[in-house]
Formats: sequence, structure tokens, C-alpha cells
Amino acid sequence: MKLLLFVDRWLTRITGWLIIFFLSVMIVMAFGQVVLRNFFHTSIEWGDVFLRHLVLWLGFLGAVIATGEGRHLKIEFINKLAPERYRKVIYIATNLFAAIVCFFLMKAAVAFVQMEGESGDTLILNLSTTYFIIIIPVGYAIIAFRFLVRSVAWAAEIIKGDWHIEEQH
Amino acid sequence: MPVIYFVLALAVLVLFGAPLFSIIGTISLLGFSSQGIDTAAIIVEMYRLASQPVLLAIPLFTVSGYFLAESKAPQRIVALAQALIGWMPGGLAIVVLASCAVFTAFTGGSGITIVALGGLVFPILIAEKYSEKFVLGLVTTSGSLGLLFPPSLPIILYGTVAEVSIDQLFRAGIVPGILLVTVLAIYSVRQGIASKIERHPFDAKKLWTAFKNVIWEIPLPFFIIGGIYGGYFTATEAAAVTAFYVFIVEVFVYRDLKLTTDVPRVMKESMVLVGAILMILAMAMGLTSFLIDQQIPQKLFELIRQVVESKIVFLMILNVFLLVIGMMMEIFSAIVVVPLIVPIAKQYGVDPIHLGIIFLANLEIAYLMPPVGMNLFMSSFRFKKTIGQVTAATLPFIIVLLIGLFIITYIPQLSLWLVK
Repeated sequence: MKLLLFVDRWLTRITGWLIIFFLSVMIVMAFGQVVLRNFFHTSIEWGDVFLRHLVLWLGFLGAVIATGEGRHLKIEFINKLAPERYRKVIYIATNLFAAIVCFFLMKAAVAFVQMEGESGDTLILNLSTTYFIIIIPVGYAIIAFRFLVRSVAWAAEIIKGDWHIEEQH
Repeated sequence: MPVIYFVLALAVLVLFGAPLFSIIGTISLLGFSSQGIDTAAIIVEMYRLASQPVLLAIPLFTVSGYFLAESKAPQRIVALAQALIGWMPGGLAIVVLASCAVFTAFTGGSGITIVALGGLVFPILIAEKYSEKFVLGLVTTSGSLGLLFPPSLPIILYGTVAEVSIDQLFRAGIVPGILLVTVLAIYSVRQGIASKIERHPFDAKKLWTAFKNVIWEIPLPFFIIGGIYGGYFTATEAAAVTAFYVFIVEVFVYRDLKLTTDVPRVMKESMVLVGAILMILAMAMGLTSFLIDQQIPQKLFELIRQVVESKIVFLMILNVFLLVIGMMMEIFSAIVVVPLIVPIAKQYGVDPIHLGIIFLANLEIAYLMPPVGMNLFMSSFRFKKTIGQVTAATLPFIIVLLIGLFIITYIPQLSLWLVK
């Protein structure tokens, strides 16, 4: 359990760094493209495709954090009305469910990446498409892992008799 | 009938707060498998997002909104609006409406306006002797006002899923958006006169000071609306310029945000929202292709057509449906019904752009809908009032907004005027 939480914490930290780095690149480069296009009638040829894939990466990284903080979009009003004791059980169930779905989405994504890999296509700069889309299966895998860790952590707390739940965002 | 158990199970999971993307994902996964199609098809559909230029606008506008929200821009906007229109009867209320609308357009709603701006204007309004009930209702209502103005994120999401031009949607939203602000403004002025609010004289010097303070942020709405409307750049280019500009202005000119502490924190915060949205959007793409593949919208249309013949009645039912969905789900999640309603509405002869505006106007009001609209909770939490008090205070505003919605729904020219 301690190891799981340790891994989970480091995932959060690394994801945060990557987000800051990628987003900074995105802001500067997207602006650069507009300047190049409008004032110099040129642009970095691979820039737009690269930037759109950067959105995929940022989206998945953001979703990894959202998972850890329980901030995925969901309907909340019933849980708000439920007593604390039930709430923890509900959270375990819904997080487990989400973990299972993400596992299957990861499998689908692996099949997708293999398909693309076998086609041997390159996207930009002679780089295989695989490098750009690998975040989809990896992202779903990490998200599934985090949903699971959260459920297990809560279950462990309940076993110890701790029904208190930190306020969700 | 196992399908019924399946639907029931999913309904229970949704209501108990399972992440919505996991629910839509389940439907797509099981749907595709049941047809003997490899589930990789879901990811293929999702990957189509990466070929849409407008995808880039989502993180860029989101991060701009967060930078603005975390800076002192709200104070500056309110100060300017106050100097500009504060002298009118009910002027201060209009100040609130206008500033909230601008602010929400940039931040995309989701309750952030109530927290950032609502808390700021609440005490000012009370000090001006507006009744507490009126103020509570006004601030709650303003929390989602402005979703129809560019560059609001929900517009971009609708355009992405419905495959409608974002630039056109941006133009379409302006007149209906102004209409909603105007009906509320008229109501507020009436209240202002009725409760004999003391009026302040117009002060040119104050206006000049307020204007100077906000000079760096003033150009933002103009070059977004003007740039897109004038055809100088696309929504995505506007997003790129906005993000860069806002970053420079808030960090280096106003110095509201510290480069080493605030900026990384705000960047992460904003990408959490982008991540949550992308998860839903990705699954909505898969679901859309499944629904169309199975001709489900067509089948639904034939079912509905047996009961509903006229476009007028259909639009009425659509409004009620969207208000209920929007009340339960909030705007970013409600995007999942778009692939269902667009083809059906088309059959009734509703223009997809007009439909987009109807959709967004409904969701704007749905935020306030009792019993569980999100703004009611946000406001109750922020101003420490019971949900009952907030609801009672907001009710008159909802009625006024519904009149506006009625006009937007049945006069498509309002939405299509600037597009065609």
C-alpha cells in the first residue's frame, strides 16, 4: 500500500512538471506560428500537427491529475446529500468502475497504436506516428491505475474503521 | 431483457457520480463489441480530434481564462464598468451583468465567475442599498451569463462535436448573447428605480483612471471578436494570440502573477479542466460514430415524429429536455447529447448553428435551474445562504431569462443574422 501511494505521488509530481513544460512550449509556439504566418507568410511546416498532438498529451496529463484529485466531470448532487458513511463506499464503487473502463480503453488504444505502428507511417519530421499517440494507451493505463489506488486506499481506511472522507472538489 | 438491466446499472452509476467519460466509454465499448467491431474504432474516432485545427484553441483559451481569473483583472473590469455605467439607474446592477458576461466568456463558466467576481461585487451592491434578495439573485444569475460570447469554451466544444464552423458560431452567439444581457439589464433597472437606489453622478476623472488601469486588457475582446469577425484570423489563431498576450500582460506588465509560483500552479489547474473535458470529448467522438452507424438519431426521429409533428412543438420539447440535462450535468458534460440532437433537429429543419445557440442558451439558464443547478450550490456555498434562499432570490431572474430563451428559440434570424 505504501509503495502504491509512493508511486502515485511521484506520478503526480512528474505529470505536473510535464504539463508546465508542454504548455509553455505550446503557448510560445502557437503564437510564433501566427506571427510567422501573418507577418512573414511562412510557418513551421510540422508545427500545427505537432501542436495538436501536444493537446492530446496535455489533455491526458491533465486527466491524470484530475483522477488523483477526483475532479473528473460527474453528477454530484446525490453524493452531496448522502451521509459520509455511504459516500466513501460510493466513491470506492464508482472509482473501481472507472478503473475497469479505463483498462478496456487502454486495451483498445494498444490495438490502435499497434495498427498505426504496423502501417509504418511517419507523421512529421520522419518520426513514426507511434511516438505521438503512445500517450493514449499510456494515459489510460495511468488513469486506470490511479482510480484503482484511490479505491484501494479508501477500502484500507474503512477496514481500519476510518469513515471520514476528505472533501472532494 | 438484459439491455434494460444494463441501462439501469449505468443510470445508477451516473447518479452516484461515476465519471461521465467512463459511462460514455462503457456504452461505446459494449456497443462496438456487440456489433463485432474492434473497440480500437473508439480510439480511431478519438484520434480524429487531432486532425481538427480548433482542438488547439481549447487549452489556449482555457489557460488564458485561468490567468485572467487569478490576476486582478476582475477588479479592474468592475472598476471600469462602474465608472462607465454606474451613474445610470440600476447602473451598478448592469455593471455586474456586463463584467460577469465578459469574464465568463473568457473563463467558460463552470462556476468560476461566482467565486472570482461574485464575491467582489456582492458587498458593493449591498453597500449601495440594493435588497439582499435582489443581489443574491443577480450574482447567482450572472455566474453563467456570457457563455454565448466568443471565445467561450462551450461554443468551441459544441462546434467540435457537431462539426460546425467555430468562427460562424462565434458570430452567431453575439446578438442572442446581447439579448440575454439586455433583458436582465431592463429588469435590473426597473428594480433599481423601484427601490429608489441613490444615483452617483458621472465622473469623467474616475472613468479615465479606471480606463488607464485596464488599458492592457481592453484590447482583448476587441481583437478576438474583431479579428474573427473581420476574417483576420481564425478562432485558433485568436486563441494563440490571446494566451501569449495574457501571459505577458499579467506576469510582466501588471505583475499580478508570479512567474515561479503562480504561473506553474495556474497552468496545472487549467490543464486539469482541459483533461477532464478532453476525456469526455474523446468518448463523445466514439459514441457519435456508433450512434450514426446504428442510425439511432434517425430511429429516434421517426419515434418522435409520431408524436411531435411541428417544429415549434419540437423546439419546445428540446428546450425542456436541455434545461433538465443542463441542470443535472453542467455544460461540459452536457456536450454528450449533441450528437443525438443535431441530426434530429436537422430533420425538423433547425439550422445546426441556430441549434448551437439554443443549446448554449439553455445550458446557461440550466445552471440556475432549481432544484440542482450548479450555480445555486456555488452561490449558497460562497455567500453562506441556504439553497432555498438562493433559489427564491434567483427565480425572478430565471423567468426573465426564459423570456429571452423563448425569443432566441423562435427567431432564428437573431442567431443567423451575422453569419449569413
